Amino acid sequence: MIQSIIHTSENNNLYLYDDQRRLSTLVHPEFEKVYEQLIDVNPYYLRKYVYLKDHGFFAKPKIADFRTLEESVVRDNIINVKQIVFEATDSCNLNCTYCSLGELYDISDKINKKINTPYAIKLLKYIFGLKPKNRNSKLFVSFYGGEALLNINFIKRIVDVANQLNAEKELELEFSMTTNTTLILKYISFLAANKFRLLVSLDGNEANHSYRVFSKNNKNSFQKVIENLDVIQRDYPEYFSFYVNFNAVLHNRNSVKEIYEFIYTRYHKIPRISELNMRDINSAHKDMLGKMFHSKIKSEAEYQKEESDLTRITHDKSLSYTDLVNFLKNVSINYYISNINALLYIEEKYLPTGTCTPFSKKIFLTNRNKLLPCEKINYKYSMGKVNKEVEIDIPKITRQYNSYFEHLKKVCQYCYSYKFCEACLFQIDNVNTEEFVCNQFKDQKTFKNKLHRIFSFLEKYPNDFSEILENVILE
Amino acid sequence: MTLMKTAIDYWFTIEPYVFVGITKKKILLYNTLDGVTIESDKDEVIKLLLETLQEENCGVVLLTNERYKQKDINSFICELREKFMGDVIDIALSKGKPVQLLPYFNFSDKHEIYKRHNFSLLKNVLEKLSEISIHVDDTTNITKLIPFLLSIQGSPTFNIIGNIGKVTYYSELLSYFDQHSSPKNILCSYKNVIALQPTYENNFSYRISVHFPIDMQQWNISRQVLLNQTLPVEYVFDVSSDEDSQQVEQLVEQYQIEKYRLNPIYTGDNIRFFEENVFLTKEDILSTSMTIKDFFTRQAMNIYDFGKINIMPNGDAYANLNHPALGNIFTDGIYEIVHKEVEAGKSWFRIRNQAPCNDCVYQWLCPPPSNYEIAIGRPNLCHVSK
Repeated sequence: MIQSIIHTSENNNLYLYDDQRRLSTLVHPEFEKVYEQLIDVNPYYLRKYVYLKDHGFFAKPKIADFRTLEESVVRDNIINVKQIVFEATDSCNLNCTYCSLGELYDISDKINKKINTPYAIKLLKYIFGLKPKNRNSKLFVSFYGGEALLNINFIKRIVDVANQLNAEKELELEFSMTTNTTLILKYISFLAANKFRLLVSLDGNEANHSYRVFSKNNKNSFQKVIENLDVIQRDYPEYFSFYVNFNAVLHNRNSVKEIYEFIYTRYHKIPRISELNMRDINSAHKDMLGKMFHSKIKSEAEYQKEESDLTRITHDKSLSYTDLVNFLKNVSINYYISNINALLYIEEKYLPTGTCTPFSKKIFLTNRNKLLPCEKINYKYSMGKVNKEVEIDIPKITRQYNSYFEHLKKVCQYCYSYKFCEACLFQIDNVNTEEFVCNQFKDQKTFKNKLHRIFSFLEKYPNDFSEILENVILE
Repeated sequence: MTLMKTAIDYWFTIEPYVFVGITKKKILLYNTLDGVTIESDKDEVIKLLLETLQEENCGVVLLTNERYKQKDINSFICELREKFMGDVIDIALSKGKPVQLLPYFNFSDKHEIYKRHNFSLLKNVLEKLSEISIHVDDTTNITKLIPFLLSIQGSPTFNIIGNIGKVTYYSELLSYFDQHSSPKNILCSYKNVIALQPTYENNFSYRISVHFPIDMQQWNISRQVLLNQTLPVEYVFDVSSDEDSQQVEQLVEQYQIEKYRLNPIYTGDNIRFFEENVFLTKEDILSTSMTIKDFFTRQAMNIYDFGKINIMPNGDAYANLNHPALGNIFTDGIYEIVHKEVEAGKSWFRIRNQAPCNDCVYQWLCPPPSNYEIAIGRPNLCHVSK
């Protein structure tokens, strides 16, 4: 049951949070005494409490109300899809210990197969065919692996076809790729000429990077990665500056501090940092992954203990900053800045969990011709396929999602975080069963703790409030 | 012996459910919970509020004891607290400066970014389509119109405006609408009323326009046609003078008309009538009950025009007939038409951000600019800012 609550901050300030109005307001300690029904309270705050109660605050606790997914949303998502991702191949010249296609996980068996080019072109034509001509609409065509560069002919063919198709649609077309960069020098002129956005996998310094080893000899790939990146930076300085970014996986051989220090010092880039995937683990390797896992919250907290130029530079990449953005965007009164629809309706309803609606962000074609809404989702959740035709059964997908939502809402309706949930239903273990446990569930106590962290962070960085509203939410 | 500090400093804040209108010379605080207001033209009070709204202060200002005791500030704070619109908290009660998440009302300055953000996708654009008005006459081409209507998703309200009886094969159009679950309003003069029932029943209603002087023979015929049916009827009386308004009263009483409204018409020489009956006074403005959402809405869009498209008999499409056409339905799709309004239109996002309103504390309490402002040629129709 969700009700108005009072929470604290590190500075011992007190705030009233009212879910129904999306209001958070600073309150006097005497007000809290009234709320806690203590005796000997200041009569002014007793009157104020009664006043707010009369105007709907502290109303009877209620459970969250949810809507269902409509087929039209799925249809519109496909038309508006922002990114088409191709699994160019699942082969890789590296054998990273924690690779999701490796032996530690039950996600997929590596079959060392390249994607079917005619089918990929079919999907490309299908999506372009649905899109209206629009110069202001952006579309990413992206390549994923394995190591995508092991199928460079496919990449070149898709770039050609996409450019041809776009001559009519005039979209803002961009290409992107995730790569380990060990093979990149041979293809860099092509990638730079086509302004490929590169996401480079680099876990920090040499010791940090030691889980990323070559398949052929099990040696650390670090030196080769660095050597190649240095060449790109030297020979294509402008391209490197605008189009090359980094992704690091956090584990027991690195830390947030080391990752930032190495990559920023050497390349002046702030990498994305992801935790190890702790789902779909092969039970035989659970302990091993448990030892390798390094919590980002903890590692980041360590990093932020000492204030430095680098902590200031990476400020807006921190989890606390992201939490504040999500709070302001979804739960605060300023939600309406970026949700004009909500201004037109009295009732606001949500879908259970924070799962993206199908294909709202991307459509992913695997090397087994399966369609998924994202490359992070287990292949067993495939939502269509491509062979002679592109087969996407919208009514079936909608029914499937709604059946998940119906199942999940039994838990979500009691969650204080239902308006800004971070859980993707496909990443909840045993989601199909009655025994599923949502790690993101927030009861009153855990939600208060979350608000405590958010407000403590904002008290420390008050300028973030308008900065986020003006430049992040209204980006 | 050390002296205890007895002078208390405070954190000053206003409640996030309070709207603050502020100019160089005046402030208005409007409590959205109960409509209670505070107005002040005291320099110290204006200065305090301006500080509170500064970005770096995040809704909270340190109020020294000395400043707290300043007469104007002190009486303002007493009134503020009495009306539950703000508070002061002894700084000794916490370890550091708090924050207050006030509604961000500066985004009308960033209207272009805001539009782009909310309407970047096709679905976001078409979702907003709530009402389509089809103006008909003897040149209306049903065979071209219906395919366009078929391309519209969702269930917007359809208004069919004009003398539908003059449209060639109009029954085809009505048959099409009869199969559509959307609400349909037939808007016509009392002189052109046609019977819909018993053939067309599905969610139709009449909106009958009446302009003075009335042709009583036609009036009686139309009354009979309407009384023979069970569809909902609303009368819209065009009035341009007090005499017209009196005639409306007589008609309403004589014919027991239950649902009607007055539609003031500007003739070019009846500004006095408008000043007396349409222009808002400060009391009118403050008597409107406003929520925080209403303040956001008024800074975001024009609720009179937003989501509405007008289609003329020649296919030209407008968001508002006073502004340029957005395209033509015989050559442009609904997406292109709506997208044009979002990108370059002048109607859906016509908000009250022009002088003199942009220097008035009631700026966002006032309704958005209507067609009267355009007809009269004034940006504001009120007695507050001349």
